[in-house]
Amino acid sequence: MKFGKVDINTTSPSVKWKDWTWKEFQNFYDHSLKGNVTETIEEIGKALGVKVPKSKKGSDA
Amino acid sequence: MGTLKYAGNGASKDFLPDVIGMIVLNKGTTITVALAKTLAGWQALINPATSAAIVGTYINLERGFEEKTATPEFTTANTGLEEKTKDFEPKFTGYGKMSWEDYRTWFEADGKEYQFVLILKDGNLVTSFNSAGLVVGFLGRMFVSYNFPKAGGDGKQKACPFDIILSDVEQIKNYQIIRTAFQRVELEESVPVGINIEILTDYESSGGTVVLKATHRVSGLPYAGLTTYAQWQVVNTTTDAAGAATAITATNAAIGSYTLTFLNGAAKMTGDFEIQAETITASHVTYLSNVLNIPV
Repeated sequence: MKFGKVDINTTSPSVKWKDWTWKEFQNFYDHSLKGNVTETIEEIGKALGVKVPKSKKGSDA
Repeated sequence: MGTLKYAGNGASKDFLPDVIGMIVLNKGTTITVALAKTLAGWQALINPATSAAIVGTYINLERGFEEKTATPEFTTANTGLEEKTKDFEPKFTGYGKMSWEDYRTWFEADGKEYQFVLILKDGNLVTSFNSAGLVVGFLGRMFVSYNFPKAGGDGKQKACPFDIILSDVEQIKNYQIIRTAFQRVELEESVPVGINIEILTDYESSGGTVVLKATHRVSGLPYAGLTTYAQWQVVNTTTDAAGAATAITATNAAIGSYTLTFLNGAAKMTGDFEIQAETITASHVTYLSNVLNIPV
């Protein structure tokens, strides 16, 4: 799944986005997505199936 | 079977054409005679739709083929009777027509068992068959040489030697020639184009990212065709149960540079792992990289 300049793996059995914690996803966002995507961290997390906490506003998106 | 019957003499006295190449197959690989006659049959083994399905390749031996089989052992009894008491395993050395960079990718094959199908100059195949009548080549071991660049002359031509020792005299005894419907060059052109991948920036411990460079082998020109995560495979791990390219940023693909994130689920890789990159076009692997170890 493409976001900005980044292609994110949505098919590999070893990458189960629904099992990721929000903290894990924030770390992934900071290292692999930040600066290369235009969508917010919540938008990307939701699209991938990560559980997005309602109270969170995101890291810096 | 090995029935001895007089079989006549042909009108032609032509020599068997030179061995000019070999197909190397994973041990246990088989192909039907009908498919072995066709280019498509070999492409299903050499450049199928995914690199994971590749079970063989072709090596051009135009730089030389030397038969090295020892002469049979003859023993003379104390009665004076002399007879053959032993045949030795057939062996040969083939000199690969390839770059040193290509040859290096074979270092891990040293001492390993493969099946070898020999290719004659006219494109026909020399092979044996298993009990089910399937083409299996000749089982044997491959040895490569770790060496320095040669100074010149035939030393250069022989810089990429493959020493092959076959395991079974019977396979050679019962070999057959399969007349193919394709040209030898077509087979060679089916082998995926070699790409080199190397590390530009080490695996980053907190985020799991690594910056890699992909170039055309030998020319060093950037290879820009590895822009999706699906093209990067984790082929082996040391401590992690699994691993995958989780994301890729290909902003600098034009200069062959890619930033990849390799994770095991949500966790960073905890031990060294090996990766390989591929490009698939029209259901065939068309570009294939070396296997690269990523130190963690």
